[in-house]
Amino acid sequence: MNFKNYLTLLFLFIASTVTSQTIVVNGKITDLKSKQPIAGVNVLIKSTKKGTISDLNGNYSIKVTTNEVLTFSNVGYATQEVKVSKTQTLNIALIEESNKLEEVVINVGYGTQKKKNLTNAVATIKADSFDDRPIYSVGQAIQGNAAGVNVIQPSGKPGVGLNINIRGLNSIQSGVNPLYVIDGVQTYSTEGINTEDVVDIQILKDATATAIYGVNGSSGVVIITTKRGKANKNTFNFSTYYGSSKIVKNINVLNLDQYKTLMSEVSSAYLNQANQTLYNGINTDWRDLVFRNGIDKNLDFSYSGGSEKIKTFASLGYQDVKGIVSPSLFSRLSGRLNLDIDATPWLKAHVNMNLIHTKFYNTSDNNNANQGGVILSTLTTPSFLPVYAEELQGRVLNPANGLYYSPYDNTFSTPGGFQNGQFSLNPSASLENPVSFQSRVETTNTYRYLSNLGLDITLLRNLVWKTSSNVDMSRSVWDYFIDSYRSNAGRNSATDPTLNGIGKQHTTTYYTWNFENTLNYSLKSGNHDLTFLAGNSVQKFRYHLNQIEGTGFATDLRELDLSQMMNPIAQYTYEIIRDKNYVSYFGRATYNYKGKYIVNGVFRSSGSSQLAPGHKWGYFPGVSGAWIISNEGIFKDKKTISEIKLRGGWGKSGNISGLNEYAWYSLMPVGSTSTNPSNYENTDLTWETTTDINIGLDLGFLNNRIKFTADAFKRKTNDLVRSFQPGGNGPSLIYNKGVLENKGLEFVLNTVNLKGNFNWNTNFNITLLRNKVLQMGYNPVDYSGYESVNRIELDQPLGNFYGYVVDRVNPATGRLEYKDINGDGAITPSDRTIIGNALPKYTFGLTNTFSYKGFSLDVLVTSSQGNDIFNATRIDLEGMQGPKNQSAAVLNRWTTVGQITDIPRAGVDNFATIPATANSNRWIEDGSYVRIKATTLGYNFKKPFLGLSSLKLYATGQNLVTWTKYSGFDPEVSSSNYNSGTGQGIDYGTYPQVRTFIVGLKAGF
Amino acid sequence: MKNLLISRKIVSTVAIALLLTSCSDVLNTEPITDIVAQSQDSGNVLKDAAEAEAAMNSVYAIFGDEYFQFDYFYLGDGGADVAYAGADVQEFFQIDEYRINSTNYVVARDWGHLVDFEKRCNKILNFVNTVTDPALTQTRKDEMIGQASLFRAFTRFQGVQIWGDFPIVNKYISSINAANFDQLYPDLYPSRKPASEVYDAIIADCLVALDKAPASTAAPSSKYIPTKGAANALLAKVYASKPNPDWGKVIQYSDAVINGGYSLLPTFDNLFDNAHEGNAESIWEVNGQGAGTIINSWCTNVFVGNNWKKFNTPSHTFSNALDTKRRASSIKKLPTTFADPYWTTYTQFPNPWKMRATDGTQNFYIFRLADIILLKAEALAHNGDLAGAMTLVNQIRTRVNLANVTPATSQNDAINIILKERFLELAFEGQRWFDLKREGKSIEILSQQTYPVYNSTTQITTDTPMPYVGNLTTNDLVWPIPQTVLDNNPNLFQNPGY
Repeated sequence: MNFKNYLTLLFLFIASTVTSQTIVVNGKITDLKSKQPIAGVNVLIKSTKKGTISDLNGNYSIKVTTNEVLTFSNVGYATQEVKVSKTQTLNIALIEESNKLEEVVINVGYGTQKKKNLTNAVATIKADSFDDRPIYSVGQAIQGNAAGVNVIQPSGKPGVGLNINIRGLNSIQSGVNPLYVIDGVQTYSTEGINTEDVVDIQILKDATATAIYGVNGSSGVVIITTKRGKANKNTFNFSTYYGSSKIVKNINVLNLDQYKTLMSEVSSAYLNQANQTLYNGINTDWRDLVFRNGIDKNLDFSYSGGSEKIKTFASLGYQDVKGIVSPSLFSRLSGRLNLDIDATPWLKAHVNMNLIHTKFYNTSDNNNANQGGVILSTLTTPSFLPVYAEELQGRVLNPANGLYYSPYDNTFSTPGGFQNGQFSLNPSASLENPVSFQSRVETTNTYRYLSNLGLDITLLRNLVWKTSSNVDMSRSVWDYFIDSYRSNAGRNSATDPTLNGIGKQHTTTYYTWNFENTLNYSLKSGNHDLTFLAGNSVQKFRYHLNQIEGTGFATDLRELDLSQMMNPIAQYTYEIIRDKNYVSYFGRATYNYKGKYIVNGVFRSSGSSQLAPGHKWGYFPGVSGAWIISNEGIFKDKKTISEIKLRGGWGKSGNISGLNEYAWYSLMPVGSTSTNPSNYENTDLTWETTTDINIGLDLGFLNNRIKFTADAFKRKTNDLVRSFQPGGNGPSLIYNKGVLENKGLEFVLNTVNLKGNFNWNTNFNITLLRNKVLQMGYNPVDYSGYESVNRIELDQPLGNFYGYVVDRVNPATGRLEYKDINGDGAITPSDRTIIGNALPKYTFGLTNTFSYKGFSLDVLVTSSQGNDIFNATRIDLEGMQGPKNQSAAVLNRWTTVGQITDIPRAGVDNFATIPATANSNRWIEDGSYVRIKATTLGYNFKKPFLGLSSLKLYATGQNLVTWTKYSGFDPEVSSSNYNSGTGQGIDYGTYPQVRTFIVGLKAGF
Repeated sequence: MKNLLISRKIVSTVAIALLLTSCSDVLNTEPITDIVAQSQDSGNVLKDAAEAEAAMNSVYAIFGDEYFQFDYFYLGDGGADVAYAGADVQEFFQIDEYRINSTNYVVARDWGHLVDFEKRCNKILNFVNTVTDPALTQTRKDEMIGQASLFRAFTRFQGVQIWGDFPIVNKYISSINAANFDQLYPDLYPSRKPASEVYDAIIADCLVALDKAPASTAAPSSKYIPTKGAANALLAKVYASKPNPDWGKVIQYSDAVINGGYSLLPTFDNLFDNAHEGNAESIWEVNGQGAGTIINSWCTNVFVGNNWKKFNTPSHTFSNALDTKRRASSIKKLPTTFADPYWTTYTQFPNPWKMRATDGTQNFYIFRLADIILLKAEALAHNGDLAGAMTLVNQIRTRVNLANVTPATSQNDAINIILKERFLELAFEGQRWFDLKREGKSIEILSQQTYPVYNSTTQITTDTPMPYVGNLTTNDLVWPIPQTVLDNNPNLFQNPGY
């Protein structure tokens, strides 16, 4: 028995000797507003902490001595304390409280902490901020809801991965994707996680918090907690929505007449081509054929409940999103079972199991029309071409074989592309039209099993051993198929008489196993509150690829069937198995004095098999502290000033997520005849390390109706993992060199503007970020991105665009002229300069929540300001170099001497070594936007019918309005999906964003 | 309760044991399916005969790489008056139309390929003599050194002709770390060596090949590898192409080839019909054997066919040349639906026809006897033996039933006649750009190029000069150093005009 219990006993003894007597108190607990009973309310005797909870009808009964104080508490309600007099019936009406932040418990990695005691920068996102929206990923849930977290949905394609970076780009080559911890399971992918299962998402932003996750925690850690059962509170929940999506904005292209006029200026060859009799009378609207309405469907069913001993949460979810450009589709079927078992007083078990099947049908984008990019093909395929061969005029039938031929094919040599049911050839883009590209099968079926078994064992008083073993196994089957009949790419031809279609199947299995043990010790004595944590973890990863590629399929086959593949290609048919392991030891100590002064120290050492011998271990310490000024004696009036807290910390964390399993070895290439290795051996390869300083201030006023948080941070990443290719080709050296700095400010303001019948809450967050390269690696400069448009150099931020500066379109000649930046009298690549930057100056998110009686209205606004977009799509749409159709912008092209315009004349400028289509500020646009990301109007039934305990109906619009100057489909765009420090802000035939409307309901019973 | 306590003690012991478990072995993983390349300092880069042969195969595979399968022809023919860019790739139009700049990706990739080829050769040349495996005989080691030397010489010969001054790296590197970085610096950031120095290195490598490469035989397999005959042919080319040509040496090495057991095939088309691989005329030949072999010759598919718009579309100049026999073996017309800026009426579209096999088995010539005979004619002309030169030209013309040329009236006339013959004989074999450059005739010849433009409204065809006409300088005859390579290596400098 501890000191406190002795005191309690002593108190009880004294109290009972005075006046008290034991009585039974009964009552009903209801919601003050809705008058509905509340089940599961904790009713505790304040002194003894013993108590009961209310039943389904809100009734409770408790034995208590008079003059005791009863506390009534429930999540989401203000706690009430009532002193027991002789009255035996005590009905309680609880008041809903939206700003109970100090009660919030934060998962800080291997343990929890009350939010008010936090010393680091942590953002929390509750499920209610995203559960009424048609989203398919955790990233979408985070977008706009957390300061310091920049989420870019690179395109509107359902199922596409999101680019998420926390507090800037702190790496160039390693991933800047955060580490995810889903119910204790560390993973780098949230694919297939059902957002309906999620209770909250916590984002650890600074190294003082993330240091506890040493391996790859330097880009931040996102902790996702799923729902768990509550004892004696059985609920079934059903939710569903249905909706439809459309392209937000399309790009206008030339009509047939405008196209022909343009071609007469580009080359007579292309005009002759369009005027062939073969195409008489054809006028195809490709955009109309390609874009369709998408459909969003979602169904979710869950059960939560159980007994004191075993608590269960189980859910089954189904989601299906049909994209606006066929065959794009994302669907998910997922099941979850979370069990909490109190086996003995000293042994608790937690079991989580999550089974996921996702299906992803890809529509090829971010690619030009010659290489299968559906979006660019749709815009650039001229309208004189038909979809199918049977629409062609004047085909010639060869009676000898019953096949059709071009009227010019005198020898009947080339039947491909002229038969019924075949896609008509597109001479302007390697002979395929967009509908043909859409017929290509590219599907990914992923089966994922994510499971965690954890035991909490109380070894000694206040000493708890937690052991957990978790498995994340994901098997993806990627199928690619071009049939052997319909399209030019799959068909036999004179030069490839035995092709008969193309089929590929890559089966990738990621296997992650993690074994973790922690010892937790807490010591509380008077004003001193100490907790200790020590632990270790062993993580094993296996990557297993089985790849088969080949040709030779039956003519009528329309989906990949490997058993029908006649000719596997040996070079591309192979197996790769790669293992990597991490071992870590970690610890944390937290000391809290009087609830005013809190010091927190963390340490982790992690070893990785990927790194060179002698350089495998990284050491990541962190120290942070907080001073809760408002708990000092001088602040008596908590109503006016509810909270003043100063936080600060310093820490280090590591990142090697860009390295492959055997990064330090020199490995031979796979699937190549060269015996030059693919990379150099590096016996020095070690951790990329980020050192982080964070200072924060939390303020609360008027009973926390106004809450303000400010954070300032500076992060310096040393020993950047970089790649160096001596001579410009051949093996690369992966090495550590270079320094990168990110600094920023974050502000969060939460206000309860109106309270009562009409409620209005506002949450606002804004992030300002600056990024700079402080030291380069072995390359004086680095290029990447579309045609090397990104350049990394000293003292400049990442995300720079590099190119020429347009001077004018010469009114006399119609030629585009560039500025001679270096003044040497000639325009050469040395005249390129920095022409823009993809990184925003600031981003903000604004949520307003209104409620009146049962009605609620949520409006989420997101914004990115000061970022540039390199609109490479326009190079294909305004280049006027060949037979491709162009956008309506070229109607302003130079055509007559003296004309003042910014669009040069059509055709190739034969006298310019730097073409008008070169990377220049002509293609740079302001990518700033303010967008109403989501608006939800809902109605909560007070007295649901059909025996339901709760019922909510709602309608949501996503991407309703966007204010932007950007001329492309949408300013939220990124043609490179990979999450590294380069390649942002390039639009190149990217699948457009969509506007979605859904209606949904949520019911509980 | 007692049991409980006991089990808790057991559990506690297990917990402490687990926490203290040392797992450092777990961190020493070795690749499973991947093959590890050893450091250059390990003494084990080529550990046995099999690895040496694999490295040698990687040298042979150079001819299966993009440079020789594609860009070599593109530059040699598309860059000259034999062919147009074809296809629809801006970077190729830039090369064809002499609008090239230092950010052209073809320039960067070709620089990179040559750097890579040099490295493959260096692996053999640095380490084959360290192999102790008795399965690798000294004879085979010498053969490998001879052959890798000739490949390296031929690689550098490409580099010095395209870029002029060119880096020379002789060291094979597979491991870079803080301790050896400074020592490796000259090889990691190599400077451009003067062209004369590059030619010296090429000649030295050729002489090693002449010493150690296998002797040429009549067997087809002898044509598929670098032999002494191939070394003679390359030496002849090199002495003709270097800044101060040594025409005497050209004659010497040409004669070594001509008297080396080779003979012209009687029927011109047999050279390209895929039924006469490794023939008597062939000196050094790329032996495509299909997908999955050392050389998958995919070149045909980028030049021939109408399943998509191909590269290297034959020029009007070549199509109109009055040599029906060789033209029929060099060009094939196929019906098309696509248009080309230089073939404005196009119901039948010409394709190069010296490559015909599309299954990866296409063979093509690096050197064949007709090339060396005409090269000797060039040397004779330069040495003033115009009649002797014309005799050799006529020897080539006789095979295709063409009348003898009108005797040359001057050295310049003789050179023009020889170049015209090479144009007809060696079209689409990747030679023309190098031929014109060697003879300093590039600008003169290119300035005469026109193409017909058909106007569908007026139905009138007019001959129009090629866009580069009137705009060429000698600066255009060397390529720029790729900008990314230049920016990343402070020891390089750009060529004039770029």
